[in-house]
Amino acid sequence: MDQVDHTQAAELFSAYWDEELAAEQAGALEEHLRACVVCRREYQSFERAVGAVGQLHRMVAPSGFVGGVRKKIRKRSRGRLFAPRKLVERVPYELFSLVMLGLILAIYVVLQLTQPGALKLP
Amino acid sequence: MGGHAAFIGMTLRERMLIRRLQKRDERAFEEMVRLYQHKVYNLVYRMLGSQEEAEDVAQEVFVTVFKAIDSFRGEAKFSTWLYRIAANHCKNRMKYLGRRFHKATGELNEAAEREMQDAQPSAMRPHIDGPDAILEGLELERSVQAGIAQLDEEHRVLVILRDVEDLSYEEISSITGLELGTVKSRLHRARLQLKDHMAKLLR
Ligand SMILES: [Zn+2]
Repeated sequence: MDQVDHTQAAELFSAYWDEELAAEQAGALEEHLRACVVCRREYQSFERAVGAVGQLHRMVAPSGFVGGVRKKIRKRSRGRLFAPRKLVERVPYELFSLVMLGLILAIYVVLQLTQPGALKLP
Repeated sequence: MGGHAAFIGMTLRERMLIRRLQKRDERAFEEMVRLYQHKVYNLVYRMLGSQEEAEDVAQEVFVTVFKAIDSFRGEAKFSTWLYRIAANHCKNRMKYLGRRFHKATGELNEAAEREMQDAQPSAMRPHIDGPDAILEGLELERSVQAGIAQLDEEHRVLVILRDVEDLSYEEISSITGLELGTVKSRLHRARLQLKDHMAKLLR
């Protein structure tokens, strides 16, 4: 390609921006842009638009996002989607409830024993 | 062999994470969400233009990832697979919202723009320019988002994958399932449309 016209020039904008054009083609486009004010303005607004997209701020997921996903999965699968945790991770929790049960039982027995007349033999 | 396909381009950490995910390990799942949440959220936000929709849809993306993790065979990069799921969710939500707001696309865009005006600074990473530059930047950012919102779905996704996410044509082709040539020509159309929309907005 030795020369480009208006239509051809516009067709090359994207590839030029992405640096995908062969040197020769890029040169021909540049030459046209130097000579043609219409296409030059067009390319400037192309550059401004596409460049601005690349400059957009990176949005950050709100806090609590991870918890939100976990909740959705739990709710929809009724807890079946996640594998049960390993026994080692579960023990302290179950041990805790056993200890609590024992404690409640002990308190109950003690209360029964200290209550006057509660455990009187017939 | 067979079952353990290529796992090309993945780090050891990613591979181990995926194996744990396939065993439905809740901790691995949280690790994965933490690792990719901002990437997915940013993509979805730029597609939908609303924080509320973005949070919901981005969460749905991860629910799908977790449900479908067994079908991930490692033929593509994990992030490619993740992007594919995210793009599909966005497409479906846009269709749904389009039906709901069938009167005019403007209604949705206006709502999105209002939301951006209210909430953007807090959701963005801090920057260190002077007040004028911040205002100018916000103005431009709003115009870009409004310009993107005027593209139809198949053009919008290409602009976002290429110019926001900075992905290669090959990766975009793999995410969208489009031929490389189609990606290039459609992206070009999308950028030209965006240029025209923004020229009107910034006039
Ligand atoms: Zn010209």
